[in-house]
Amino acid sequence: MWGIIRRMLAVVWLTFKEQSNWTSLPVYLLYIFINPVFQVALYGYIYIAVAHLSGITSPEAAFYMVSGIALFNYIGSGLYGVIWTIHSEREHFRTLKYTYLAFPDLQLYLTSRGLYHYLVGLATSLAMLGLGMLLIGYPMLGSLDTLPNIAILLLIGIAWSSQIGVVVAGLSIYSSEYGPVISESFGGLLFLLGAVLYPVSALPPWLQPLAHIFPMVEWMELMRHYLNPSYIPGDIGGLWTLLVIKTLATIVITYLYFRLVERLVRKTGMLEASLHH
Amino acid sequence: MSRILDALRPAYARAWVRIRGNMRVKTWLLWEVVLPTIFMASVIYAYHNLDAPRIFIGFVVVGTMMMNFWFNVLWGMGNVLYWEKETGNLEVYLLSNRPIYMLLLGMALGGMLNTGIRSLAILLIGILVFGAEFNAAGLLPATLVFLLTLAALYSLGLMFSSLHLVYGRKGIRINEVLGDPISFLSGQYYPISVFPTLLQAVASLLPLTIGLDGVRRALLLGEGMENLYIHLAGLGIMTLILLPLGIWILNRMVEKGRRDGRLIMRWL
Repeated sequence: MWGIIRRMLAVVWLTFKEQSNWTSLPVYLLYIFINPVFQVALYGYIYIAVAHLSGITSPEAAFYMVSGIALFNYIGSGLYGVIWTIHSEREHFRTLKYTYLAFPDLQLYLTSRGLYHYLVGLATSLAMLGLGMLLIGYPMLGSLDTLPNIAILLLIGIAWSSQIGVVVAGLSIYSSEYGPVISESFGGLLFLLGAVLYPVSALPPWLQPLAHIFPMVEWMELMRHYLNPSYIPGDIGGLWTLLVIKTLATIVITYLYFRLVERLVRKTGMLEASLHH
Repeated sequence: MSRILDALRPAYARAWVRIRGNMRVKTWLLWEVVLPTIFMASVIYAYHNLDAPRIFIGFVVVGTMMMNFWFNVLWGMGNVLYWEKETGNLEVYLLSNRPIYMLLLGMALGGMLNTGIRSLAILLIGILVFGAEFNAAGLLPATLVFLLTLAALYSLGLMFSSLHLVYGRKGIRINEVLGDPISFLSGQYYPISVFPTLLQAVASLLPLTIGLDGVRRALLLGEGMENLYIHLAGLGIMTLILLPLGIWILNRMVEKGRRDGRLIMRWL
């Protein structure tokens, strides 16, 4: 167990160096906060624009949007971190083959690469949450009692989203042509279906069943509830049960799927098939 | 005349490669339309959820369409010399003894066409699927504002490309932080009149902000040329400043790269 943790920490450190070695630490810190800050402004202003131009106000809808965009940043950072590893190591750095030879387990390696991005995502999401609530003027009253639940949910969030990332990375190994677009599209799909800016009920009826495939909706609604206990998304116990079941199912399916992908990749020699062929 | 045509040959050659390259895998087109459409749909559903007036759908569709060009300027033009260096093409260009800005013009023209096709598809989806409504009378002024916006934006892209030539990987990071801030400041999903005055003034320094506002006024509010001359003049002035400035900076950066011996050095 200690061996696995040590490997994971080494990969987290490697990811930090790879992400930040182009500049000094203060500039890097500034860099990681710029986009999230403007992102929360971009989406927060959707509410402000409607309120400003049509006079329609709904503080609850504003809370929903801003908390959603901040939470999506956490999930999205980690997810993209996992997914883009294949593309960047194969196309940009051309090191995927060395990683494959040096690291005993590619699935664990991908998950560990994502861990660093979850840490960055957590820091930036907190900033987004604070700034966003300030922007829309929502008086969110946090409670220390809910912190353990939030911590557990953050870990569960890593568990399901990193494994979804591994599934998409598995697709990316097969296709250098489609890898980047699949990655982007998948993040977009979660953004559309995952109760980020609006509840699932706001989607057209034919899209709503798709939204319930992933554990994202339950995770988002529970996080909102524990961030702001006055927000009650429904049966909390039911949401927890669904979240745990879906997360476990995601982990098991990903494990089996990735073993299959790995075997096929070795068999077909696709590991290093880059876009420049 | 033949001298002008001769000077334009590298631009034509590069544009051809860019168009062909982007069409190499036909289904890329589908993906590249689907991806912005997903985000566009998300924002439209968010507006529906807020019971926003119908005009907001038009704001989102026009914003998504035009933002595509900004991303093309950043990643398809600004960033491209870095990748040409990495793949070993840059030295071939430099040895061809043709002005490098002609190659960039080719990239810009090719990029405009490719992005134009994708943006048109997004516009059609906006109209047919999401029911965006536009004023047909505003088509001519909107087209004029749009073309001038492209001229100003791609002139700005010329400047970015020179930064990428010198700063290498740092340039990629600069591109990354020019995504969401520009989306916000240019008012991708709403008019910037909702911003505080100071923020509006800062945002108005961007060609995309002026272009987006002009196209929206023409297509959504039906405003004619008489109301858009400030937009047209602003974009014209920006192009007149940015284009020569871009060429000058690019030449200086190439010179500097040669002097420092870093022009074709990879992995910087």
